[in-house]
Amino acid sequence: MGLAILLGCFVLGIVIGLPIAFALGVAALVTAMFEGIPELIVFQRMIAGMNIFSLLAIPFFIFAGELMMRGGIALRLVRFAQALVGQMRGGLGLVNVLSSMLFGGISGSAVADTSALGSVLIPMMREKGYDDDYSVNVTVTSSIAGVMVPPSHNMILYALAAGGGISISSLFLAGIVPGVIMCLCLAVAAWAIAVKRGYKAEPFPGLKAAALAGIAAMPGFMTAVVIIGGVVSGIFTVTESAAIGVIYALIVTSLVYRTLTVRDFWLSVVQSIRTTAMVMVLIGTATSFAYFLALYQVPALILELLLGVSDNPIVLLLLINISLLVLGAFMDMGALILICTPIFLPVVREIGMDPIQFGMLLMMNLGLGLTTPPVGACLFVGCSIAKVPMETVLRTIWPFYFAVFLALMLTTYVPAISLTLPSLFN
Amino acid sequence: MRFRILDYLVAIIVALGGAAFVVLIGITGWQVWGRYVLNDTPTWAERLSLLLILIVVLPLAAVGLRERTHLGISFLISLLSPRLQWVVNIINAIILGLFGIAMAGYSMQLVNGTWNRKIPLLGVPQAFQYLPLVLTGVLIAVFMAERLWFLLRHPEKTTDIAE
Repeated sequence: MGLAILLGCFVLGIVIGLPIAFALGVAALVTAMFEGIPELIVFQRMIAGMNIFSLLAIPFFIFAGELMMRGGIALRLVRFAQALVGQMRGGLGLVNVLSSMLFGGISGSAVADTSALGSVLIPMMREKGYDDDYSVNVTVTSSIAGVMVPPSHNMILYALAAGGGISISSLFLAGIVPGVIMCLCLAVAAWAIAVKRGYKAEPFPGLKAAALAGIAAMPGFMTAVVIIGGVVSGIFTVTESAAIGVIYALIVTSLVYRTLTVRDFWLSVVQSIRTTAMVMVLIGTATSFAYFLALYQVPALILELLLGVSDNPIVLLLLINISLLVLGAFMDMGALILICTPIFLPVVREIGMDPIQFGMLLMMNLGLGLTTPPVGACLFVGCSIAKVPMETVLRTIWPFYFAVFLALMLTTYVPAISLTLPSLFN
Repeated sequence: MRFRILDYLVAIIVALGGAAFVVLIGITGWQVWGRYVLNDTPTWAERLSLLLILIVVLPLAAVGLRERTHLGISFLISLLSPRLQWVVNIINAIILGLFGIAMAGYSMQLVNGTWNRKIPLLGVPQAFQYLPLVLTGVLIAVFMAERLWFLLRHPEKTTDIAE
């Protein structure tokens, strides 16, 4: 009965439009009242969930992404990508995918990626004669690279939700190959559609211009190297690396590029703390909610249920993928990582899947959820930048969804894709 | 249409949160500098950072409710008639307001219960961890009261923000 109240209150809260973070908190509070558990435990668990040092990396990553967007790093990365692949057929589509991979590797957020690159590339693509639906489709789906290519704050959430024991540096390394494969699949889809629609290639700017674009982008790109290098080498903790990344991005944008004004700096601070507030409160209330899930032994129930359906790992993984895709279409990524990890991780461990590989599967599934209706933050951002209705975009997005799905299946069923790099470095 | 005084309150919360965030970055930078350059780790830095992040984010979470920036599913409500949307928004404001009151009340119990215990390495009461939660609960209740006031005075509107 308690579990029914917990889930019922949560679903009802979502249906009547409560913010997800608060629907989780209200459901936990009502359940505590029903069970006669001291209600203050809900708020004590909230603070305990937020009081973890590695979580401090999240605001720093968000802030670094804001600085890059306002400080000109994103623009330089786009120019570099344009010099590299712009001369191919449908070149700006490929520029978009490559830029997402480069920028996602720095900002670590799909929404930041869509917003930063979309505001640069969508108008540019429109000017060059690309259809708006194509521009939005490429921008939105390639932004999933932001959660796959390190550093990704969602991977920190996953490590936290897994109850420790999973190294964040291994997760960062594991994300690289699946992220690149996904971007390759998207690049093929973008190219094929560009050829079909007859989009033209950009003229090659010349070797000198390409080299200059590379040199201009290099200081900004080094932000990713500083952050990832610090974590993977084990010299710094993830939070320290993120803080160093912020300080480095500040130096690059204010002293090297000289594009960051005091106003830009303050706007970046304000936007970062607003986004951080949403993420952290979600972590807090999801921790309270997860406390009750554990109390009702939900992970064990789901394990029993899934193993009752089939004990074939291929079938089970397909079921888990479908569940995550459906959930991802309706709920925010952060909340789902915190709720689904303790539920599904025991199941995949039971069938012999490495938790690091499962992390990649989770990231890609939920990343795809950010691009699907009805609750796709990246899709909303992309459509609002291009000022096109979502229906127009959705009519032609299917080849891009298929490309990501293909990468997802490869990540799910070929463990080496996720595990080779971490095992090489460890 | 909002209460002007609450607009000022929000501006103050954002400004203080921003300043605290800049300090937070400075502290973590100092921690790295101390550990790797001075070979003298400032042991207080980690605990202070954790306290500061609560001060930064929790009141802003309440501000996010006022400004409707938290993630949620609104498309189901948008399918309803304007009158029903108005009713659902009133129910939402009441639920969130009650949650805010509960947050403030129960967190105050946590403050009272931990006032005499110190946070290791900082030496300040553990209650400081829960004080931002009390403030947030109060802010949520106030902001939701503002929303209710607006919705009740304007039954023709479906929400309290510009659509």
